[in-house]
Amino acid sequence: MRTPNEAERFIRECYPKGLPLYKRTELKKELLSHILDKADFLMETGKSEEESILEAVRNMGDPSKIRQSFGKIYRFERLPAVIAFIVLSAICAIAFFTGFILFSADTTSDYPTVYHYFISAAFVGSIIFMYIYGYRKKKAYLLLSVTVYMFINLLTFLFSSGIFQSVSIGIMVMFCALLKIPERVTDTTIMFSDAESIVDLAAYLTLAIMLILFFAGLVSTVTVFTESGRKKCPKKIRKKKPLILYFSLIFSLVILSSVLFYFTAQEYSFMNNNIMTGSISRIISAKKGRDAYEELTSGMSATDVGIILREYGFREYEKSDGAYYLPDLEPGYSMPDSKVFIIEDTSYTYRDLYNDTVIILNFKDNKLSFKQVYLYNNRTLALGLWRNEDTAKCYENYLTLKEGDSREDVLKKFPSSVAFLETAYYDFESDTEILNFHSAYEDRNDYSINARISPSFCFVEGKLMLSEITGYGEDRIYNYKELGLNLKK
Amino acid sequence: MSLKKDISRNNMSLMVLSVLEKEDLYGYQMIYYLESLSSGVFKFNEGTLYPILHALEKDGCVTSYWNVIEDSRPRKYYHITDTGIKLLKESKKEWEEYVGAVNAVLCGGVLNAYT
Repeated sequence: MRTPNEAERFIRECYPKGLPLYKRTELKKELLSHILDKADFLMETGKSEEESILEAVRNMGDPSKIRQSFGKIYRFERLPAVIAFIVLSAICAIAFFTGFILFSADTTSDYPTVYHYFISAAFVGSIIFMYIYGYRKKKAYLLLSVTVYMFINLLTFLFSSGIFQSVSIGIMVMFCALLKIPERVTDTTIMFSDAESIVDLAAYLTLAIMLILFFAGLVSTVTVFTESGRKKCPKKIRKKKPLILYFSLIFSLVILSSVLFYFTAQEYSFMNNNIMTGSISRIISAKKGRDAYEELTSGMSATDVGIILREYGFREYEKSDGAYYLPDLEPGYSMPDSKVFIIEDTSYTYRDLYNDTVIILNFKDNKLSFKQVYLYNNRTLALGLWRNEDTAKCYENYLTLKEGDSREDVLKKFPSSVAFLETAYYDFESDTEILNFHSAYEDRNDYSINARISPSFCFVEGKLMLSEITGYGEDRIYNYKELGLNLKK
Repeated sequence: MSLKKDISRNNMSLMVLSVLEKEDLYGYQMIYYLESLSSGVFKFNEGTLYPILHALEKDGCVTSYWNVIEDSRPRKYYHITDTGIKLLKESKKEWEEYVGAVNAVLCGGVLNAYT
């Protein structure tokens, strides 16, 4: 006799949630055997096969009550699935955040795309695999998929992929930033001696977390699919409702993430519009760069400047050495007495240089006469806030500028909440100070207000003399010599 | 609630162990025996037997094995263990004490009514 649908349905309803595969198979065999025995007996009394099966199933009783009874008996066996589900959810939450970092931080290579396809293929492949082999539990599919995901992550870490380290560091960045680790880095003798060790620590901590999650996932996967052994569970946990525990965990994660995000965004708002796109190295670099820059005052000796900057982790570069990549538009660099200090790339990548913090200084008679800081971030010179929604305001303010406005007035109209100071330099030849502000956003197609504006201001004796408005993208023009206000769009 | 139903529900484990004491049985057989031995008094939803069997197995009172007799479907037989036998003895004793006590009360009640 083939397995009747009614019997199948009944048996399926008898399974408690999360019951391991081997137990289900056995239970099915046992209950089916009973139903068919009963049906055989009823058929002998003259009933039809269909009637007999229906009656046999009816005689079995209420499947929900049977399910509840089995649920109580097999709560131990269900525990790994519940744990796996919780672990999986935690991993998914992390993956959700790291996904942002992964695809926004490293836009310069094809690795994220390849990585993405590879992960997707692994997910889909594992789901198909499990479906073919007949285990139809969504939780189990997810568990296996994420275990594979973790495995790939570990592999990429071991092979020193910059991408994975970016992801792993990204996970730790909020924690480190919340604890204000960059500010606490003062004593060079302790473990957290410099930015690099923090990044390393973050990476290794993340590696440890990944390893734990991977092995937890692996053990859970093996347990769920093969049920190699019954897990013992303390009574306290047994009595708790797993679903309530699960939702509490997820809820706590969401709250924690929100709090972390709020505080870190507040603390490091000078950095970029999106803290998640910055790795901890960038934050450290930017923070140190800013602090160092603020300590430098006009007239300091070159020796003192060198001491201060080295304390902050900078090292001096020969022009031909490491600073070759500085764009031509940084005039301070091209001056005869300029020195370039760089916090060397503290991050993971050897490919890109945009994580450096560069301070360019000029000395006259061995006295500091000009300073300039660049905080490289995604190949953008950045200092201050960069907020999309403020672009319009920036533009409005720009239109109100009048020739002869004082430097203070101009700066008031371009506070850090509106535009960041992109470059600043002093033109010694013309004895003028030039400030380039930037308030823009990349790759946005709404140009209704001619959105990308990069005003430059020239002050002679503190009075606005030079200004320029440019186009966007490749069309941006940096013409510092053009005098007067040019409001052409 | 029916007293018979209540008694059968609360003492299913005892009755299952009792029928298993004589020979190894599979679920359907047990239902049959229980109904026959009780002359049809203990009738219950057949599916409820299995959680009881599984619970007994989990507690180590019974063990199970699959047996396939030729031209027949596979059946899961249950075998009572030493633990099960011990439990059965204790439960029987408790049951006899309980029944004795109930009888004493019932009979005493009847006697009192006539004295």
